[in-house]
Amino acid sequence: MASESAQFIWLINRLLGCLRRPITGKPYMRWQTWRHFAWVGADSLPIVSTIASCTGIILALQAAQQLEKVGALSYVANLVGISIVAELGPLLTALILSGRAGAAFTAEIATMKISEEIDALEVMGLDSVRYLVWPKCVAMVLMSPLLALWADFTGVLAGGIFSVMVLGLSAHGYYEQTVNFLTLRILFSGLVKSLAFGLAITLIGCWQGLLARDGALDVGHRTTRSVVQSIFFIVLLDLFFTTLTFISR
Amino acid sequence: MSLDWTRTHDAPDIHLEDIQVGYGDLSVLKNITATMPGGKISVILGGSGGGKSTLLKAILGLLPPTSGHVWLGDSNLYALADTELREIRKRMGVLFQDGALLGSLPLSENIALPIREHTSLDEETIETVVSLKLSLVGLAAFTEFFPSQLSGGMRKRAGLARALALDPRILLCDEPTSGLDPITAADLDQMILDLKEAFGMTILVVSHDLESVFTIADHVVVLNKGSAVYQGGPDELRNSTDPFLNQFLHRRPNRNGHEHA
Repeated sequence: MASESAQFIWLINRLLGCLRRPITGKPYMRWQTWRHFAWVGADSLPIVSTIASCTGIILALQAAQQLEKVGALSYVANLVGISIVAELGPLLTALILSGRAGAAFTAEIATMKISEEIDALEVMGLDSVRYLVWPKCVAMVLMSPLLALWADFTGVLAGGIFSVMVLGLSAHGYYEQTVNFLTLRILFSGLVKSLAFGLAITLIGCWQGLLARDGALDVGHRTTRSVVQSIFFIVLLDLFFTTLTFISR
Repeated sequence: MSLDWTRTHDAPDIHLEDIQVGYGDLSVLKNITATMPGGKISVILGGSGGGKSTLLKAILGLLPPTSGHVWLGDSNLYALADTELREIRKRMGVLFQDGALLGSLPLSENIALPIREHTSLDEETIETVVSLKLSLVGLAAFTEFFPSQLSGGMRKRAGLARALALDPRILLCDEPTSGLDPITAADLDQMILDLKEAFGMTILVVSHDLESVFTIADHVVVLNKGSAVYQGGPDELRNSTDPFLNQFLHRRPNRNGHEHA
């Protein structure tokens, strides 16, 4: 446990070292970062869109069941909007990223660790953290909020389309209700959360990868731990940020 | 801290000064003092679990000794600042056991990586250097192959090409012939001999392949249970009367209560 904590401190220290140097000084490092942007961001769009759309429709369905009892069906827009933008957009995006990117980061780094590729980088005088972890951090910190924003948009849109087509709400009314109810503050708090989620997923994923020692079995073991720990910390961070938003309301 | 040898064509000695190395409470290497002469091929020989790979990691700067010093020429490896260590590593080439090539990059990019990191050469020159290094190990036709598409022997040769990318003054090889057929192993031995002849670098090979050792070694250090039990030339090693060395060199199994392996 102590050596695992020491490895985490070593990782953070090396990442802080990366902050002091140009982000992508050499062209091959720029390419490395772009590759991660595409992989974390663009390649996650289909799954994020699908899950956010389904969640938007589910929320509209659930809200409609309760609200029509009190004759307040038009408030479906408010409920879908707040649930998606403040909570579920960032949270679901983070859960997808922990399973998709976090697990892949761990498996990649763990395999490289076991096959001595990380040792090889170090003895070639390449900083393995700058080469492997830093581009992942940059990509996740930027892409996680952008994906959450996209999830917000598709979730609210899908909830809206469903409400108009099935629940019989007017498109204009739904739009007005959503725009008037959602504030920039709600949107911003969701994005700050998702930035923190992205950073946590990357740090946990890469840290667990660097801890791998004993062959293929350990790669699987570390990958599982990475996903479980990421989900745990995502929920803890969510609780923390939501409490902070509540206190400062 | 002097780094003179990194700026010249000198091949430095590797000197181990009373080093102890271990993992946690487990001491793997005990009080080893040895000198691997510059410009020559030294072989660290020993059985499995004898501490060879641990010693190599200590010399690579990856595993700090709990006591003692590792000297590369006049540089005390574990007393160097990060920037100095970076300078030293530019002048060290390492061939890992299975090549340790980056699986996500083709051979050409693997060889180009240290060149891109440590020099400001333009792409055209880098390309030329890469094909030169790959030709040196007979892999010029495989530049765009990924490591997983190559045989074990080819991966080792590619690893050697990467180790040579920056024209090192020290070359360290971890079990270069293990797992190779006799012809490929002999090819690799010849390649190491040629490198010494052509570039006069200090070469340190970790091995338990006796045939290879007697073909390439100028100097041998034998490890047993974490201690250096022999240091000297290969001929004296062959004539040694030490019971463990005899057993090791003649591949005799443990019997009569001997517990050497």
